[in-house]
Amino acid sequence: MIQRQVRENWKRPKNINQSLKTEIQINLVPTGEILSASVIKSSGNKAFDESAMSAILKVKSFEGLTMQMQLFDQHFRKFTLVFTPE
Amino acid sequence: MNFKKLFLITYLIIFFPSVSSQLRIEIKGGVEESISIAVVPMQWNLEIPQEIFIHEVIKSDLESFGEFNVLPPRNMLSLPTTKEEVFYKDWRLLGSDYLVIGNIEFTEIDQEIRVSYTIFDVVKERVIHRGSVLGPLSTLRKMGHKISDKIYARIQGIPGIFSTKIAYIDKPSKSDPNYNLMISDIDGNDSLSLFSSPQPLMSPSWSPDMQSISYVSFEEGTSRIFIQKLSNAERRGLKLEKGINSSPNWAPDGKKISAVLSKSGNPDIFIYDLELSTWLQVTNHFGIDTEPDWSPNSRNILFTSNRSGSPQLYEVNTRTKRIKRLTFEGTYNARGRYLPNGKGIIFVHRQNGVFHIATQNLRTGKIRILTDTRLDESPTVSPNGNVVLYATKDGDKDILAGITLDGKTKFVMPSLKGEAREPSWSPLID
Repeated sequence: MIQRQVRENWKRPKNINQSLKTEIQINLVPTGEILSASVIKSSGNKAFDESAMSAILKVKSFEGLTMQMQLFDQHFRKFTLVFTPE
Repeated sequence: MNFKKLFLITYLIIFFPSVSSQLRIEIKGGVEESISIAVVPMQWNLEIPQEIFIHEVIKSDLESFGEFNVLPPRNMLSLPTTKEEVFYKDWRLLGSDYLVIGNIEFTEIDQEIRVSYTIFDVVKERVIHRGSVLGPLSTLRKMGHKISDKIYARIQGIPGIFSTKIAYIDKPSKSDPNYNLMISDIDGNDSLSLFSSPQPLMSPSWSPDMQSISYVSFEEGTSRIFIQKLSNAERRGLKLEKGINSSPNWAPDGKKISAVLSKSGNPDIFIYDLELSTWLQVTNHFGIDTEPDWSPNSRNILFTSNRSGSPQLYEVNTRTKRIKRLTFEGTYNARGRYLPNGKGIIFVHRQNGVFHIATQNLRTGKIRILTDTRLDESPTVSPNGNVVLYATKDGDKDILAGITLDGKTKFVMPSLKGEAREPSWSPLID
């Protein structure tokens, strides 16, 4: 669900190295709203990192995140998104 | 810190002590879409009519390889020329991810103009680059290419190639009985003949400082390698040896040229020292060794040899002279060029009797065929490693065509006069 919402908003640059990988740490609140996002592992290609970041900014808030508080705290308050082209 | 938060933290520490257990979600693919960018017509502050529109030059550059989709001015809601006039919401509505605005004015120097521009990230609502280029009024197109390079680099994360040049050989035609050594912009504009001869010209290769070109000329009745400066057309012939003198290729340090000589009885790879004017033999085999290309780190030379019976690509270490065969798939792999990162090569590969441009990963040995036309030859790679240009046929006519390394965007080099062969892509300068 999170995957889908990010992927739909992710426009990545064409004609780039297929082995790039960016890791972004996300902080969420239980409503699904993104508190903060930061690149914790850069791909080395600024444009690629920024395209991933833009995807998260476009999402703003994840929809449909209804779950028990304990589960939310356990997994979703803070998690990592790993972006790869293929 | 309130009690609840403190409790939560304690809870997390007790029950989830390991950070490495943090959830990781993989996002693969995404939409590989052209980046939408709006390039607003720039404010023209000169009291003379405008002939070249810089936003059109930029539009055509950025759309060359399919990576960008440029919004035409007729679809714009406003035409801002200053930051204050930019309303991000408008550009978001139009689906633009980026926006470029600018203005053009004379400087204090006669006929010199300055193009100042600003690149905005519409999604993040901020300026990501501000710059200006200076130059004579007559070089407006060139200034546009420079801005395109900046936009490309800022958004794609790798250098833009719109200011680079292509050298090629223009064959004799009805309108011109001579061979011409030509250079032009990569869009075919601003072409210029550097040298002209009724006898064949072949194999242009750029010096790494982009100041000179080496090539083969038959003007003396036999093949000889010349180098020619672009600035003053000054020419110099390399020391002539008996037999074939062909396929010059400049070393990355600019001080040496690799080439093919047959003075030892059959074609072998040699290195010419431009300071000492001497030849040094690198390969020595009774087969044909030809078409050398220096690796980006200068250590190796890629070449074609038929030593195994069919043309295949080999690599020779210039110091140890040790030779390694690189291609094994098929019975014809020739005219190899290294990719700028040194991790792969491109070459002509024959499959089912048809010649294609292919690329091979040097670590895995995996071959990928890029083109699906029939008589593709002489591939040359853009200095940012993203595009291959090659010679091919359109009916009977020799043309230059290109393809991006991901194989997704093809193009024919437009507006080239005459018949072009043997393209050679210049290095990146500044």
